[in-house]
Amino acid sequence: MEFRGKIALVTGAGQGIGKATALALAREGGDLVCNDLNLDWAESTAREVRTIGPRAMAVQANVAVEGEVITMVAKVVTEWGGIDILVNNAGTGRPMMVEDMDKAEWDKILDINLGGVFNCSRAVIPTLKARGGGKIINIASLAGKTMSYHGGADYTASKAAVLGFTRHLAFELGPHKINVNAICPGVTMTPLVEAHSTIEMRESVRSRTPLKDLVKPEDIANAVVFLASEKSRMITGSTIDVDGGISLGMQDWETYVRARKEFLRNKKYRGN
Amino acid sequence: MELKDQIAIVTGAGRGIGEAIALTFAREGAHVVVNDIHLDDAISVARKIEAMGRKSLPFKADVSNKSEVKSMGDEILKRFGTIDILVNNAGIGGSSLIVKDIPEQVWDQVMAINLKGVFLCCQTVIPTMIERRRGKIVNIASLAARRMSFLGGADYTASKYGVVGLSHHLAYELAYYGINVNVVCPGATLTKMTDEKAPQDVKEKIAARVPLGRWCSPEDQAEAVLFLASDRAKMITGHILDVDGGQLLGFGNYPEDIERRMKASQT
Repeated sequence: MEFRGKIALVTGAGQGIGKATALALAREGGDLVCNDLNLDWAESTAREVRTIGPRAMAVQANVAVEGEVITMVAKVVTEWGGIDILVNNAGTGRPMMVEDMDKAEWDKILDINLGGVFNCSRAVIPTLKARGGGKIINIASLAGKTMSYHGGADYTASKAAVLGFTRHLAFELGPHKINVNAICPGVTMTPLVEAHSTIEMRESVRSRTPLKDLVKPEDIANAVVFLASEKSRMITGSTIDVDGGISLGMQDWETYVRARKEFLRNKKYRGN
Repeated sequence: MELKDQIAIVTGAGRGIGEAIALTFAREGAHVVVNDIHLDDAISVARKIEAMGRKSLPFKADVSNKSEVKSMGDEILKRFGTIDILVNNAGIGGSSLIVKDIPEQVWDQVMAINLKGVFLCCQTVIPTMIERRRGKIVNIASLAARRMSFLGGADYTASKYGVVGLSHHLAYELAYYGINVNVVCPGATLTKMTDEKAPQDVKEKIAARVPLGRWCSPEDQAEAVLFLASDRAKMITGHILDVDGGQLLGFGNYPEDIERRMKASQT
């Protein structure tokens, strides 16, 4: 019961990684503020949290809109007294080529994925400071380190920017005992991804993943729980990649192994 | 208890970070092989583990010596029948010299212990792990492998970069068998030895440079290793986890820099 007496705000908690995260934090005793753009989804997660045991409130807010975020945080502070853990999970993307993307389209993604992280982080800083410390965990993406497979350049740019923001915020908030870290999920089997992919696409991801499995929302939630706990009290400005090793290799595993088996048969040493 | 009845081997576990890892694993139910070059230290840690109700095997072996490492592996298999977790923690500090002055034998010794030692220990446990299609390897590198070493020399830095490169290959090769390989890069960590040896003003100066304002403890490193060795991290492999209180951030002049920013921001 790592988080008993702690209050966590998870954005985009209506489904997928956000929902899995909210439930994982609740299982460790944390009270949950479930934010989502869709109030029905947020309420459904909140109900599941209450079934587990801790308190839960569902709050509808668009993280891209500063005023809505400030109102949400003020409501939590007024009703529950503060916030200890913020998980910036809300985000979106879609496949679109840069040449087809006008500035308004670009802004839409950046406003949610990057602006939302800024708005929520900034809004909770006073309450985290007042409570003598806290945790901010940003759900970035492997796209932020390489590039997005399914999303556009706007998505990749927003997630790379989240990683930069994470480092900078960690630097600024260090003296206040506020840890700021990011998680980079690989392709994760959320309901949204499952709905927008075919079995063939999912099998292709599985076969290209060295650990030969698909990343589940619960895998990401486990990493969030670690970063939100005191076990990681000296980790800040850091990232955890949860991707089954897909970012390791540039070639398929079979080719890699075949080349090495052939070499072993021939025992030809190149160079020195 | 996350590692109940698992068999773990921690190299260089006689003191410091290695000892903390061994004790943390034991707390979580693992039986731990305590390797160290100093047998007395290994025995004292093994006693603590046994006092916690777990099995332990203190084993003196030089990780850079292939036959000693092999004997250790054989003994573990004979005694416990399997190996679930390997933590490559043994290492030495190196020369603290500028490259121009590093003696060849020092370079070779640092590479032998810090890098070849990891290679030999991995080679020893891999067949068992592959056979059983399970296993976790966690290698302790250093913040030196993220940029460069502050106190140590290029010999130390190069050896730790080597550990990271080796870990990436191992992670890629062993993922197929469901074996995870990851790296922890500790920042300034206050082991008992450092605490006793370092002057108070130096300790305070270093703590001030860490954005979180304090040294890491060996237990902070151990909790990160435990996370990576547990099933909570089953989809994490080939990853480097920095446990450094934010030391990598900024430009090494943390207290002055953050104060300057705060002042500029308020005016």
